[in-house]
Amino acid sequence: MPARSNPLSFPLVAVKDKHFWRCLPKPYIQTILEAGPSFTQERRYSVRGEFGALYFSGSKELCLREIFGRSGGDSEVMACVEFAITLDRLLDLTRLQTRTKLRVQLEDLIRPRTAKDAYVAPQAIARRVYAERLQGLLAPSVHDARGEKSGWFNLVVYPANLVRALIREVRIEEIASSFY
Amino acid sequence: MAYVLGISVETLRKWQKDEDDAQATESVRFHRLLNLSQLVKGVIRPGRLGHWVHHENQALGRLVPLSLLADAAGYGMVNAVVEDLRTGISD
Repeated sequence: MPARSNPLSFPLVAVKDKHFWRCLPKPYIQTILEAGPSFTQERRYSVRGEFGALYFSGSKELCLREIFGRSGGDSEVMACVEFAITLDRLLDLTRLQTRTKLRVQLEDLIRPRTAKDAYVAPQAIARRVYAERLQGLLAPSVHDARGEKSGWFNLVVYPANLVRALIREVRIEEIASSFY
Repeated sequence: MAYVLGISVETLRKWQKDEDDAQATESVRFHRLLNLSQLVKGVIRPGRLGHWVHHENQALGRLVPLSLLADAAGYGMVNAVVEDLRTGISD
């Protein structure tokens, strides 16, 4: 993934036709590209009531590892979808130099979900990435923080920022309830 | 349901007749489990819910889901794991 220049203080990367995976229970496979659920929950790189995200894995094996960790083999049949994704404005948190620039330690990004303040540092970065209208970020996986296994990292995409490239806000009006 | 809750059938019967709500804490756990049983539809195989709630869960730091239903925060964590399974949100 080549580094790209940008007006921000940290380097961005691009992915071109790179393959990522998402796995859902088969009954829910039609919702594979819905980001709504992440908008209503606190998650590592999305914030409840602020912005949602789509989470992908860099390998099917990582997806399956996450599923097994949650279901212990008791889940319904899962369906894994392989996507070819092209994006050109991503923050790469798997890179040491990116984390150094952001003054964040790897350990801050991979705390288990049960740990106190597990999402504080990742969400702070996510807010910044979202506010800068970047398309998303690459993140180390809690299951392979050092990136020793090929493809064991996550891609987090912010659909709202993708849509912004296609839709222009013309005007914002505030309307008090007394007017309707 | 008694098995899934980890209690005897007799205890479950007592709860159901517990008009004074003397078993409030356990009753809350009972209702959370009822809610959970709805939430896991299409996610956990129906015949495996009892197994799933009784066994250590890696995503929950090897805690047992059933034991987490005793308080709201724990219930929230169990809910989150189920939702992440359903929606494919990464750890």
